[in-house]
Amino acid sequence: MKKKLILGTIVIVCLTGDVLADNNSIVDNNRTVKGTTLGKYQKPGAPIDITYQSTKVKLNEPSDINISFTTPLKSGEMEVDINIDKNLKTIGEFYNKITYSLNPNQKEYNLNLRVVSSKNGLYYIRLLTKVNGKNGVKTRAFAVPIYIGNGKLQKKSHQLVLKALSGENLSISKAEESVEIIK
Amino acid sequence: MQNVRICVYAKLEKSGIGGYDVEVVDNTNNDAVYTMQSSLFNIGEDSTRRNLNASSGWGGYGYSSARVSAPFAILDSIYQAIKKVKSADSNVIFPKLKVNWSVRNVPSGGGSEGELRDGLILTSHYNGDGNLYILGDENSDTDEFDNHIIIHEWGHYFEDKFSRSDSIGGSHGEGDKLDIRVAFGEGWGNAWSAIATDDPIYFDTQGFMQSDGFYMNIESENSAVKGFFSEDSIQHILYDLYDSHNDGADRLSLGFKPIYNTLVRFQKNTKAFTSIFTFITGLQEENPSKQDKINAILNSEDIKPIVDIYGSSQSNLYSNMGDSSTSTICTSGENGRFNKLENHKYIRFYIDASKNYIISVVQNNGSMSDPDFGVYRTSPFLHLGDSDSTTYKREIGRYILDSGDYLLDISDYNGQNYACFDININ
Repeated sequence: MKKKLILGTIVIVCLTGDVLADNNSIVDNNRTVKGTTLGKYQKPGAPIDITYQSTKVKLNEPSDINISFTTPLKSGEMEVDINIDKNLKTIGEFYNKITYSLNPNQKEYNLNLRVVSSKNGLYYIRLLTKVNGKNGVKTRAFAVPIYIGNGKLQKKSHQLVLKALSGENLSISKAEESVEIIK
Repeated sequence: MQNVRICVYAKLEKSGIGGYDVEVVDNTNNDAVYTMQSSLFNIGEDSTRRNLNASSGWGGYGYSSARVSAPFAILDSIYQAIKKVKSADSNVIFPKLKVNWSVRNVPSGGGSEGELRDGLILTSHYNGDGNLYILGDENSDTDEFDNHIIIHEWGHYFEDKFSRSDSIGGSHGEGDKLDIRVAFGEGWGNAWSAIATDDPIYFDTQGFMQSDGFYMNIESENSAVKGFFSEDSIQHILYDLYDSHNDGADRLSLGFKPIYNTLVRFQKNTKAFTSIFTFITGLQEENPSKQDKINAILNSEDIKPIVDIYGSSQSNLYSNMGDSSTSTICTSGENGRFNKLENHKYIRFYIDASKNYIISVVQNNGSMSDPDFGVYRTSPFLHLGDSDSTTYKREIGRYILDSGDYLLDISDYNGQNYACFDININ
C-alpha cells in the first residue's frame, strides 16, 4: 500500500561529513541459536507461537534448523509458506508450503530443515503462517536467523550514512525532484 | 551564487505547549536519522518551486530502490495519533519518542540490545522506554504503511507517558481468554488505532510482495470470545463508546475526550490493576448519566454492570486479606500459559505498621508448582519488586512496607492446571 508524502517534516540545508562503518556483531562458529515467541509480546495476528533452534556454522557447512509451532487452535489447518534467503541452499527434500491438520491431541507442529551457504552473513528462513479463525483468516510472520561464517549483517546497497556537523548520524536517500520557475 | 541542497529530516518537532519530538532512525545503522535530500542546485536569480517526492522504492515486482517514503509514512501515522489526542487536550506536551525502523527489522529475536541493533526486533512494538520498533522486512512483514499497527503501538507509548498500563504483555490471539491487564492493553491499542484514524478496519500486510495478511473490523466483527478477559470485547466496547455510529446495543457517541480524561486521570491513579473494570468505573464516575447506555454496551459483550475497580460483580480474581495475615488462592492453567485468564491471581492487603515483612506463598495441593509473586503499593501505584526464584512449591520474599494498601500478583511459572497457595504476610 502506498502513501503520499506526509505533512510536518523538517526541511533544512544539509551538511555533509564522514562515512560511518557498520556496527555488526561477530559470531562464534558452531554454536546453537535458540529463540521462542512463547511468553513474549506479539502484535495482533494468528494465535501461533514459534520455537526454533539453528546451528551457527562455517562456510559450506550444513546448518540444522529445528522449528516448532504451537497454537491453542484444535481444529482446522495451519498453512506455512517457507521462504529461504537467496544466499542459502537447502539440503534434502524441501517444500515451500506445508499444511498441518490441527488436532486436540497435538501440542507442537514441527519443521526440520538443513541449509548451507558459501557466503558469510546473517540470513533468514522466513515463514508466513496462516489459520482460519472465527472471523476469517489470520496470519503471522516469523523469521529464523541463520548465522554463516562471521554471521555479520550485510549492508544494503541503497544506504548512504553520513555524519552531520552536529554529530548526528544521517541515513541519506535521494528525493525525486521537479522544479517550477515562478514568474 | 550559492549552491545548496535541501535535506528533509524524518522528524516531527514542535516546542512548547502542545509540542512533540519524534524522529525515525535506522536502528541497524547507528541510529542514523532518515533524511532525503535534493540534488545540489544553484539558487540563481529566478524564484523557483522545488517539489521533492519521497518515493516508495517499489519497482512493480519488488522493492528495487531505496524505500525513501517509509519513515515519512510512519510519521504520518504518528501525526494522526498526536492530532487526535490534541483534539481532546490542546495543552498536552508529548515526551520524546524515537521510532526505530529498518529494512532489516525482522520478526525474529529475543529482545537483546545486540539483536535490536541487527534488526531482530521480534515484532513491531513499544519497548516501554520511549522507543517504538517497526518491522520492515520485505516479502515477510513490513509495517511502515500499516497505519493501524503503528498507531496501536503508539497507543502503548500513550499509556506509558500519560495514563498507566499494568499489562504483563505476552502473545495474544483471537479467542484467547487473557489476563485482564493484557486484555485491556491490547483492546485499547486496537480500538485506539480505529479511533485515531476514524477507520475501524485494522489491517496488517505480510508475505510475498506484501500481498498477503489479514484485517479485522473493530466496529462490526463478532468477538471470537466475549467477556472482561477478551481483547475483542474491549476493543468493541471502547470503539462503540467513541464512535458516532449507533449499531446493535451501541446508543452512545461520547467522542474521544471522555475516554482520554478517564485514561489520564482515573486509570492512571487507580488502586487496582488496569483493566476494563478500572476504566469503566472511572468513565461512569465522570459520566453518571450515561450509565445505562454504557451497561448496554457491556452487556452486548457478556460483561455485567461494573460496580467497582476489582470487578467484584463478576470475577474472583481479587481476594481481600482484610484483617487476616493469611489467605488462600488458586491459579489455573486451563486457559493457557503466561498471560492468560487465571494464570495470575491478586491479593489485596493493608499494612498498618511500617516495618520489614516476610511474604510467603506456599502450594497446599501438591509440590510441582513454581510460585512467583510481585508486590505493588497502590497509592501512588508503584511496583515494588518481584520474588521469582526457581523454587518448587514455595516462594518467600522480604519487603519493607509502609502503612497503606498493597496488591500481590501471584502466579505459577510452571503453569500447573490448578495450583492452590497459602499466602502469609508477617
